[in-house]
Amino acid sequence: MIITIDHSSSEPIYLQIRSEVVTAIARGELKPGDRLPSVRALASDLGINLHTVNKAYAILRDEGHLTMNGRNGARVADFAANVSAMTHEAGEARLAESLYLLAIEHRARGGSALDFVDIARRQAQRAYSDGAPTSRPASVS
Amino acid sequence: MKGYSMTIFSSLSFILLIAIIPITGGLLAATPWLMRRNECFAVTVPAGRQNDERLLALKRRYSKSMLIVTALFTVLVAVAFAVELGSSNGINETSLGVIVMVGVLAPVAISFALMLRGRRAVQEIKKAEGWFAERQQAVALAAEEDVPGAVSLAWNLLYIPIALASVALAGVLYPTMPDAIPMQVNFSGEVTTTMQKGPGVFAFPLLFTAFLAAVMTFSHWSITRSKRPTDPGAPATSALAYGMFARAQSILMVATGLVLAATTDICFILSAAGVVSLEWMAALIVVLAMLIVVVCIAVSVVYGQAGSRLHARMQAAPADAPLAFDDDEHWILGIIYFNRDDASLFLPERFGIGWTLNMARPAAWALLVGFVALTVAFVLAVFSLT
Repeated sequence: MIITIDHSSSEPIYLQIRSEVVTAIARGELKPGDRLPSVRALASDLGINLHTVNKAYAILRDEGHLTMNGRNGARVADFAANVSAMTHEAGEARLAESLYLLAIEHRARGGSALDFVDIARRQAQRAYSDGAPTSRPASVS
Repeated sequence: MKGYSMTIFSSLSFILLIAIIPITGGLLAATPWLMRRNECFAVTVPAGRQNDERLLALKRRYSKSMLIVTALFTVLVAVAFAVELGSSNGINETSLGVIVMVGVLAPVAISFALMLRGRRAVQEIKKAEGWFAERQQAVALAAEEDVPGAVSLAWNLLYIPIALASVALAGVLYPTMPDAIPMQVNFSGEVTTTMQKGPGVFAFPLLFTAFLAAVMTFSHWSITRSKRPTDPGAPATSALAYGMFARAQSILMVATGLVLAATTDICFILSAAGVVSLEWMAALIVVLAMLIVVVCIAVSVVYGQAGSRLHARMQAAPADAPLAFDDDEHWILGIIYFNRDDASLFLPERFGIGWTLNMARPAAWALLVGFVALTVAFVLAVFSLT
């Protein structure tokens, strides 16, 4: 799997790394148990700071996508098995909150609820159209 | 017998010492053609533009100049040797040493100046053509278990059996050794320095093996810790090409170090025991060193820097692909890498074959000082034996 970052983008690099990893997991390019590069190796290969990679890996760990055991380095977590009910609920809550904010913005611009759902459905199709099945229980139908 | 071996030994040494210049000069001349497809004279350029006639002309000009410089210094050194040998004062080894040093280092210094000239020209072309990167992409491989890389550091443990075998051999032959063990021989075949028979017989091979093991293992380790450069325009193939390059160079490092250590140790012990004469052993080591240089250069030419020649064979770059990144600001005078935001300590060179240091990291300076100190310590230790 190839991680691509863009120094010139307005999105912070650690979030770019996080997105790349999450997208790869969603598409099945990264499977549970796959080993990610060590913090030092990834920082070196991308030409960035250790702190940046540390932040990205820390977020991924908190979200339940990554496990790190000293010796074995960073591995993709088996999300369903790894994540506690509390983290799962926190993730769902974040998703709900993000969608709410997007819907409110859409409303503020004069859009209708139906429009919003339509756009959301199309983006969901886009995210789920890559074919590879996800290993976690379906949370968006 | 003495006169015969002296002629062959000294002739061989002179030929080989002089031959170093055209061999290394050839590599210097070939350098622009061996670099990565995004770099021309240490300037980031679009991969598809390497066939621009102006860039090709610059490379040809550099190569031609370097070949002329190399030929010039080869002749100069050969003449200087002849003069020194023919002089009525006899052979002054210090002078010969200085002549060879100048003959080898001068082309390197000139190649640097010529590179800077080429670099300035490429920068102007780049500005005129508007080759600038709209993005600053960086790419890395993750969870790819099949990509080759440097071989295991464990191979360097083989220095231990070599050291042990040397001690054993020295122990076995110890009784047959004379009281004054020849350590240095001049070009006339006379022994100029001797060592008292004693622990030094064991100390020298151990010191030499330890020094070589330290230097080679460290260099090998630095390859394993290096930044692995990946071309955003062709991530998979460039990563594979680099991996194969790193693997080949690490194998070379391990093999040449072990062979050199084993050969030198055995040669020293055999000559100390009088089984073979010191000048023949010295000649053998010189021949071996030359072979190693030739093999290293051959591998470098076949693979290209960071596997660039392998990469070129894997695919052709689209001519209009825009620059996805531009490294120029981090490279001082084209060859010194300075980037505080980069966690890398080691990374591939920009104009040359091999790796260089990120001088923004304090560890890089410590390493430079450390290497000098280690070499000085080794030389002093060996001299203290005699």
